[in-house]
Amino acid sequence: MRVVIICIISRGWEQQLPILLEAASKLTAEPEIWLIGCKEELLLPLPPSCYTEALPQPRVRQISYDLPMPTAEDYLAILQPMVENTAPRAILLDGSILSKELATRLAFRTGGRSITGVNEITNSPDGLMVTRGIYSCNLNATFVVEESPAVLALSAHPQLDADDNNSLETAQLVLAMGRGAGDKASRDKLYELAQRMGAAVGGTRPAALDGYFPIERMLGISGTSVKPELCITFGASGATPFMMGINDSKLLVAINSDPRALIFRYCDIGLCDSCDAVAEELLKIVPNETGKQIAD
Amino acid sequence: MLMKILVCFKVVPAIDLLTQEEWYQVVREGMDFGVCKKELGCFDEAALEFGLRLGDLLKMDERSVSLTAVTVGHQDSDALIRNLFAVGYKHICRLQTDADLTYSPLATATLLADFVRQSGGYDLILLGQQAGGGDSGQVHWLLSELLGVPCQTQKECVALPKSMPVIWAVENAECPYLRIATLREKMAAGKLTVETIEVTPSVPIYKPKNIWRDDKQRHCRMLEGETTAERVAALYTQVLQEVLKQ
Repeated sequence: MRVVIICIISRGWEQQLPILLEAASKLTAEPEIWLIGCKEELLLPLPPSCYTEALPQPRVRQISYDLPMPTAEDYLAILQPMVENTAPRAILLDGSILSKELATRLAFRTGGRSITGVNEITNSPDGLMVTRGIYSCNLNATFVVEESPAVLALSAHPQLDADDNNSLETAQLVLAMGRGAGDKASRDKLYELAQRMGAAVGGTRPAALDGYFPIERMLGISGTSVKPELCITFGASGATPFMMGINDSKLLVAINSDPRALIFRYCDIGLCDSCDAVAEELLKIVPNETGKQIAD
Repeated sequence: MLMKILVCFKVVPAIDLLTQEEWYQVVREGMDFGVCKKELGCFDEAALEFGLRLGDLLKMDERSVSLTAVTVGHQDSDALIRNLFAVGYKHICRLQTDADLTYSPLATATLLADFVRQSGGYDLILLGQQAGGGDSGQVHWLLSELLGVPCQTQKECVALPKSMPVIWAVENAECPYLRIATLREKMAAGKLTVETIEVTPSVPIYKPKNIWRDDKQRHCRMLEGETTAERVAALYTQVLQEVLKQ
């Protein structure tokens, strides 16, 4: 089975390529990588994790372009004839927006079928078995793809902003706010608390839309996924799209004033109380920058 | 000159309200969301508000605008759809089909493209970047392919498109919620009817071979204490102190 991985050299490609290779290894022993970049980028070596015992020397086809800011159409102009000439059974891309667009348009133009947000791919006598999340990842669904090429964009996201100290992706401590975090004064206390604890601040989509924090700090299925040692949520209800972004936290603590809040089913430790009152009490206990606790 | 704006939207079950047990029930009963409240897809709601705001901009500029909303769905969502008359949509159309298009973005895009062609085209087509259910997030790109019209993603609604026709896929918008109609507007809207067009998809309809729910439930331990201070002290000593040391 001919399986092609399309990898555009851009931010996070070093993390994505090994993930794509692992997914492709379920279908073939010898996937082909189409590496797309400008001439200078193509001089970069493959990430070491691409070389495995099963695949000591991946087959790479380098595709260079000479455009300052290539668009999806520019990439498609290169890729469509290549796909038509080589007729791969499956084409794998990462989970970026650009890759989703390329997967969708490429499949449309080459008579294949595209699926985005793919979690797992296997081969079966009926066709390719492709699993993805549905209903905001509350459920999983497996589809049989008979059409060729099957153009599949994975659900994985590149690890961005890894150099940023305040990065959500790499933070070991995350303070997540929901709309129940309280008024401006309460939220100021939570920001103060986050600063003292060295926690990165993020939260739910409704809270982001209400301006509690910048939209880039939204956690969840349409935002960032985090894997901290500890994630503390203040006033989040526990809606699944948000929980998808914090589920990989090692320890999950939820603070909510509603004892019936859904989040108490999904966390490790729960505290049923007003977020404002909890923040105020924590500020009395958690040492400030000078290491001193504030007395009553 | 009249500017024709079309907003494509989807009515979806309000799944955020479902409990774990209800999810298992939904799967057991063949994906029946009948008991679930209906709502507009969150990005589609932003797209509908986008359309109204662009209409406001055009009216301020003394230009005429025609605002149409279209959905693919069943009659049971008409009560919710009728509210769009109240907030300012003059023409609302429901493309009715018995087929379940949840997992077939190309079929949805094809029906929408046919509607656009039959309506004589639109200057601007708005739709949310993703709707609940299948969550494919592909309909806007497929519509772009079918109509041969460029597609851009948009967050802000401050100006009209520079070149038209164009498709705007609305993502996390600055104005994510639909405006609220007055009682008078709602009463007037009650007399209007949603135009229904029977349609049949002309491309293959896909269904999943298997649907299941992962059980990743954690077991919550509630912190006890008579007062907030006691509960917070327990949180600090049992959890935070150790983590903050690291």
